[in-house]
Parts: sequence; structure tokens; C-alpha cells
Amino acid sequence: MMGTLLPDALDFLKAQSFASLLALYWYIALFEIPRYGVSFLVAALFRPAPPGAGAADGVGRLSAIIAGHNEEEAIERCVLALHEQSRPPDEIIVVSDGSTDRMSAVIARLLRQGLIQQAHATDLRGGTSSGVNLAARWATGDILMKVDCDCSFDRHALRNILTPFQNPAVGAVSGNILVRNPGESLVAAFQAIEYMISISLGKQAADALGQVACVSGAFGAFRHEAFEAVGGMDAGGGEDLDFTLRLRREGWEVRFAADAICYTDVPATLIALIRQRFRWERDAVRLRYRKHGEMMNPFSHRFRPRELLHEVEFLGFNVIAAAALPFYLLGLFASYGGFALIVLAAAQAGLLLLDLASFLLAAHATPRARAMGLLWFLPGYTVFNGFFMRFIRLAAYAQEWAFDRSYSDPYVPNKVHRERL
Amino acid sequence: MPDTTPAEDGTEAAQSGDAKRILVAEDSSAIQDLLQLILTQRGLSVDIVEDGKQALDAIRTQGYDIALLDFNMPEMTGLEVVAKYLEDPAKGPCPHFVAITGDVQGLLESQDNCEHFDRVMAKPLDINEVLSVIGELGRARPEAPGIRPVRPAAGGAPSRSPIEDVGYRFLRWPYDADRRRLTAGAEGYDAVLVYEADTPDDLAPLWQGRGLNLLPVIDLTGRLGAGADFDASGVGGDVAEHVTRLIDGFGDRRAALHRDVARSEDIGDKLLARIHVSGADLIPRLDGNRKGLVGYNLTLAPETVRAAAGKLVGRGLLAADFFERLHVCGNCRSARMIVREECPSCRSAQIEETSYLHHFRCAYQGPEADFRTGDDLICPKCRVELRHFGRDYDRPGTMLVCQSCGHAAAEPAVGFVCADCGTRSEGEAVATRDVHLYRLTRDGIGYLEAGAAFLGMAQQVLRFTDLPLDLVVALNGEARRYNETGAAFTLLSIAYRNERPIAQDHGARQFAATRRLFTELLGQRLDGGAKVISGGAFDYALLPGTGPEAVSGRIGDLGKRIAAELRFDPGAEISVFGPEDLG
Repeated sequence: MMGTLLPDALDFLKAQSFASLLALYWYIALFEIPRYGVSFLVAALFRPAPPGAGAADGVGRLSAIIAGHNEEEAIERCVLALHEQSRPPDEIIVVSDGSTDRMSAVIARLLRQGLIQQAHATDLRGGTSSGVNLAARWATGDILMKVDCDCSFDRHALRNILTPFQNPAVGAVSGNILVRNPGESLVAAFQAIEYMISISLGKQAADALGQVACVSGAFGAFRHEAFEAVGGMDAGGGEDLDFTLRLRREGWEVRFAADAICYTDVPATLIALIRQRFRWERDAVRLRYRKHGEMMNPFSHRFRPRELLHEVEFLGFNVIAAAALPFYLLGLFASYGGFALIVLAAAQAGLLLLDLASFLLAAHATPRARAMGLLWFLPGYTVFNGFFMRFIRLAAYAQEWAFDRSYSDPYVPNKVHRERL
Repeated sequence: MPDTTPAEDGTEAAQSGDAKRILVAEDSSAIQDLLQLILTQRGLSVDIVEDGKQALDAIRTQGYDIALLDFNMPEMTGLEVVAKYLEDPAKGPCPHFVAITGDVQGLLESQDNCEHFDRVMAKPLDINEVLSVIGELGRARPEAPGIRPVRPAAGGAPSRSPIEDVGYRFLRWPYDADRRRLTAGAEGYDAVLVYEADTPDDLAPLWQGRGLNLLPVIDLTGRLGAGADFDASGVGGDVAEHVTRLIDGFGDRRAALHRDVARSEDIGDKLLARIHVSGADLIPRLDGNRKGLVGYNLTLAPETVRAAAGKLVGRGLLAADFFERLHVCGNCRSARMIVREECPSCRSAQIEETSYLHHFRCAYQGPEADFRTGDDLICPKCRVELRHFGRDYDRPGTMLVCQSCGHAAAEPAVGFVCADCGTRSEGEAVATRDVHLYRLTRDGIGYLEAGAAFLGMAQQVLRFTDLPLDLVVALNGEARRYNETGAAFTLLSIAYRNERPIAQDHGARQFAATRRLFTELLGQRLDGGAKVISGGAFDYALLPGTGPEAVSGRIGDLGKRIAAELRFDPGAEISVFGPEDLG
């Protein structure tokens, strides 16, 4: 069937005028082309200069902060990995956040061995934010770096994440997160491509435009002074996005260090991925439109013009794009019946080319990603990212709008949900 | 002559320095021969005289370093010799005077004797003791004591304790503890009666005199604690009965000691014997007055006890039971260590426990002091007052905050500070010392009762100083003849493997009879001229004119044949020594 469908589709498309093509593909013209366009433009125009040796000099002392819950197995490996860095941290502070396993005993031993400088343990879980705040309260470094227990690092990751702090206006730098387990499942492979294109390449573009809106919670660094100035982390979830938005509001620059690479495992099953993305997207809309909604209101004193671009980008490419997709599809099927599939297939073929270009660009920009093995997954990724992820996003937004589901995430203790802003 | 190295008999001092000139005034020809033999062997210059008059002349004309004077000599007693010499206004340098007597107690009762003699030695002479006294005096300047000085008695004669009326002979510490009496040994004493002492260690000199460590220590001061065998400071009434029982018990057990052990100068042997005689295990007790924190139930420094007992455990003669583990200062070895919880960062002990407070609303988490404003809890981040525990905030745990450096930690470090020298040590780095209770093993008891023969360790080593005097003299004659004419001789040394079993099953007398019968038969079966001599742990046979090669092949069979004729097999093990073996 595909043998006749594709030539048919091409014939059909060739017969269309520009106006009728636009009517057919308005969704793609509105939500896909600009997204790629901005990325290509930025990536073509701005190339980050490779950092020289000792580029992290003069930024001061570095305190690494690890707050974890029941991480007795991961914590030691994580600490040892930090000591393997070309620029190891000057201080490592570990908080066992109400762990019920042996984590507090393990970190007490690491303290005795001199592998970490401070170990704190609470008996009741308080969530990531309170753990990080506790560690920051005792940290002595000029730069605070938050890492997750399950991350592993490129040898120069710490040196490279420090480099942007040579500019005193920079308040936070996000590390570049890549997928450690792309071979584990199809879903993991799709995410590996997504991390490369949307997160790595997308943040490089955002960085070039000064629009980095979220310092990754898994690997990010903050100027201690900036951390104190905004009062540290607020109650989660989505505390990384929230904290970055607040830093930006206070006028700090936020950068993305593409060469500060950290690896993490992504969900390998569809259900785990869906849960994770529901959480992320719910937190994003809650923070942007509930907590920080005023930042978009030109009449509010909290309005910041330079925040407009990433807010519009999020609203357009994430929220509206997701909301519009069902209408577009319904309209398409209403007008063309079964032929709509051909129309969509043709669109995907076109998008595949754009994705391929993005993929090659990302692979070039992040050589350490070892991307070429993922090339075969690209056609699947195009569909996965264009339809499946959008529907998930849409469902998450709807759930948050209708039911405030982010207020019952298990990632945050209930006592905090009840009281937080 | 038997070849003994200085280290074996403790006489290294006798050999060091210039050759000392020794005068021996002694009317017994056997002792003359013996002393001449031993002392010249040690490189000393020896003159022998036979009576007091000759002795006085010799001292006046020759000038000796040491004069060994038999107390009871013809013409003039030893005391008279010394007194006359000291009266002489034209006398030369004064030698060290050593009295030899069969009645130490009687000699020491005269104040004059105590003033004139540097040492008193009991008859029969112990060769080791002679050598060690000569070594000591040769090293010391006249009047400089060789034994650790004992604090002189304050204020003259002591008030007499009623215990002295019980009817035993007491060494009254410290009044009788001059070095002459201490050197003379336990001969004539039943117990040590302590009038003055601050710690058991003050009585350590008792361990330098032969056998004094085996006397019960009766404490009148009340300060010796477990270091004494009986605290008589606060008791009245039945004290006589108690003292009698104590002294008799010690006496009985002392009598059961084998001569080898009882006469040994080795600290390990002394310790073993003391444990046995006291009838109690070597029991450690915590004692805050001691640097090592532990004292034992005797009057020896605990460090010495530990070292000696450790070796005895290694030899299987003592068993050690764990008592306590102490932490020890790496600098001064003191066990008086202050243990405390300290700041892991600056090691200060000034750490306070404080609660974490977690403000749910803004995620601020920190010590309670951050929130405390008077009676109120105000969040330092968002300035909201915390009113409702469990709703606004909770206390997820506690932390320790160092008041010296401000460092915070979930767990304190453990550290030690030496109370004596102030050295600090980290908990994991500090050395430990295990303290043990020591008790005699079956082997230890066997060794105490049967001597070195029990261990089968003296088989191939002939200890010159263990040999009976008449054997030494006879051997000396044979050796001289061998050197002059080449006439060989053989010495047999006989140990009895079955001494203990026979003595246990049938009594010590039965064994003695068996042993006597064995040596008699052996003397008969050996060729004519064989001289059989009974010793302490061993018996000996000297075969003049016969080389060892002629004996060694058949002596084992001969021993077995003789044993077969006896009611009990004494388990005789016969070692053969020739002139070459004896040097």
C-alpha cells in the first residue's frame, strides 16, 4: 500500500499552490518550522570558544552539594567520581534527606575517610530543596554545585561548568546532560536523541540568546552570593526551573556550558517516561503561570522584558502547540478522511529531513554524545517527538489545570505540598 | 670447663672493666676450690686465705676491691677482721666487704655487722649470687648501693605492730629493707610487714632479693590495696588467726616449689613462683593512680608484669583471660586518656546538639538558632513566623554544631586526649592495649613442681651453675688432667621424665627412692672409677679415663636395662658430654 501511497502523496503535494499548502500544513508552519529555524540560525551564528586549560581560574572555591534520599549504594561512587575530576571540588557536602537505608552511616564513614568535608543527616524527609538549602547553609565555597547521586561526569565537567563564572554577572550555569543508557530500550534511545536535540542543542541556542530558563537539577552550579540573594531553593517540585526563574528575575545571567557534560540514566520504559514527563510538564505550567505568571504581565512590577522571549517560546511551542494539535488533526481528518494519513506522512517525511539536519548539528556540537549509533532511531524519534510527546504534554497541562496534580507529586513530601507557595 | 656465656648467668659485670682483685677468706677447701675456679674463669684475680689473721694481713698489704669473708673463721671472725682493719688509722683504700654465713638472720641482728658489710651471702653459696654480687660491687663505688635505695625509716624505731607478736619472723618494711638484708634473700623471714609505703611499686626491691617476692605482704598502711596479700590496717580481733593462715599457706606452697624455680633469678620464673605461692591468679585491677591504669595483685610494676607474663603465655606456662581494652597515648604510653566527642573539623570538644528546623513553605532548613528570635521562631529566608509544628515546620533531625569553629555535622568524631602529656589522637588511630588476667596452666604448675626437667629443655645444655659443688671440683680436676695429659673423661647428665607421674601417683618419697636406686645401679654397672653425684633437677656420673665415644653407644640400653629392674620406670634420659663439650 505504501508503494502507491507515497507517489500519490507526492503528486498531491505537487499539485498544491503555496496558499493551499499553508492551509494544509498551518500547524507545521506555525509550530515546527520556526522552532528549527531558530535553532539552525543560532547554531550557525554562534560557536562557543573551546575553553583553554585553567579557564576556571579565579572563580573561587567550589562546594559540591549532594542531597539524596536512600542513596546508600550510589553515594560513594558519586563522591569518588568527583575526586576524579580534572578540577575536583574544594568541598563536598552530602545531605542524607531522611534516608531509611544506611546512607547516613555511609556518609559518616566517607567523612571519617576525608573523602567528603561535611555530612548531614535528617531523620525525616524534607525534599530536595530543603536538603540543598541545608547544605548551602554550611557551604563555604564561592560557587555551589548541585549534583545528583546517580550522575557520572566527563573528566573536565567541573572545570567547564566553572568557566562562565569568570563573568561576575553570571549567577548560574547549567551543565549539559546526556543519556548514559541509550541502548537499554527504544524509549531510552528516543530520549537520547531528544536530549541531544531539544536539551543540548536547544539550550545552546537559548544560551546564545541569553534565554536559558532552567538550570538542570541534576548538574548545575550557582554563585553562592546569588543563591543567598534569592533565598535559596523554594519548595519543590520543579525547584530547578523555579530557582532559575527567580535568579533571572533578580538580574543574574544564566548560562549553559555545553562542554560540561554529565551522564544520567533516563526512564527505560514508556510508563516511567510518561510519569516523569507528566511531573515535569505539570511543574512547568504551575511555576510559569501560577507562581511566576506576573513575569509575563507587562503591567506588573515583576515584568521583565528579557524574560519575554523564553516565556513566549514556552507558551507557543509547548503549550499552544500541544493544545492545537488535536484541532489540527481533527480538521485534517474531517476534510480529507483517510487521505489525511498521507498528508501527515508527507509532513513527517519533511520533518525527518529537518530532524536529520538538527541531529547532525547536535552531533557536531556535542561530539562526546557518540550520536551516530542513534541515527537509525531518527525516523521513529520524529513521530515520537512530534505526536506522542505532544499528547503527553497536553494531558499533563490539562491535568494540572483541572486538578492541580502537581500538588500531590510523590517527589515532594505531603507536608511540603500542603504549605508551599 | 663448661662454657657459659655471661648473659646466661648474669655476670657480665664481673667481666667488664679492669681485672678486680678479690680476696677469699674461707676455711673449707671445697669452697676455696670452687671460688678460685669460678672467679679466675671470669678473669678476676683471686687470693685465697684460710683464717682471719691471714685475711687481715692480706687486706692491709695487698689492697683488694672485694673481700669475701667467712663469718666464722679460726683465729678471728669476719667481723673482727673488718673492725680491726677499719680501726687502723694508716689503712689504705677500703674494699667492699662481703660476709658469708650460714646464719644470715643472726648476723644481721648485730648493728655493727650491718654497718661493716656491704653484702651478706647465705651458705650454701649460690654461684649465681656470688657472681652477681661481685659484678655489682665491682661496678659500684664503695658505699654506693647496687640495689635501688630504699627510703630510710623516718624518725627512728617504728611503733611495733601487734602482728609481730604472732610468732613469725617479719621483714619490717622499710626499716629492715637495707640492701644487705635484701641481697641476703628470704632466708629467716616468713612475711613482709609494711609499716610505710605509698604504692605497691615501692616494694619492688623485694623482687631483687632471692625469694623475698615469695613472702606474703601484710599491709599496715592501708595504701597498697590489692598489691598486698593482706590489709591489716583496719583490722583487730582475729588478725592473728588470719596472719597465721596466710603465712602458713604461703610457706606450704613455697616448700612445694622446685629448687630450679625457687632459686631462679629469671623474672619470669619469679613471677610464676609468686602466682603459685600466693594461691591466687594474677588479677588486674583498674587503678586511676597509675599511668597504665592497671595494677596487679603483687608488688611489681605492671609494665614488668605484662612483659614477663606475655612471654610466659608464649611458653604455655600461663593462660591469659581478657580483662579490659585500654587506649594508649602514642607519645607517652599513658592509658589515662580522656575520650570525648569532638568536632570533626577542628577537634574541639565544645560541640552542642541542636535541632534542624524545616520550614515547609519556603524549603529553608537549618539549625534552630537560625529561626530563634526571642520566644518566636521566624524563618530567616521568608520572615514568616512558624507557629504550627507539623503544619508550618518540623524538626527532621539533629546536628552537632561546633561552638569553636562553627562547623556542623550529623555525627561527632571520637577523639582522645592524654591526661598525662596532652597529646591528641583520633579515635580510629589511637593504639589499644589489652589487659589480661593470668593464671597458671597445667604446664606452668608442672614446671613449678618439677623444674626445668619437666620441660625437657635442659637435656643438651649443661648449666655450669646448676652443677653440685663437689662435681664442679671433680670436673675441674679432670679438665686439668685432660689439658696436661690428654686423658679423656665423660660426664653423664641424667634427667627423669617420669618424675611427675610417679610422684603424683605414688608420692615424692617413692620417686626419690626410685631415683636413688637407679643411680646406685648405674654406678655399679659403669666401669670402675665412675663417680655418681646426685644433683637437684639432674643426677650426674663422671667417668675418668673414658672418652664419650666409648659410652654414648651403649648408655641408652644400659639405662633401659636398669629401669626394667625397678618397680617404677623413672624415664631416665641420659646425655653424654666429653671434654670437648665442656670446653
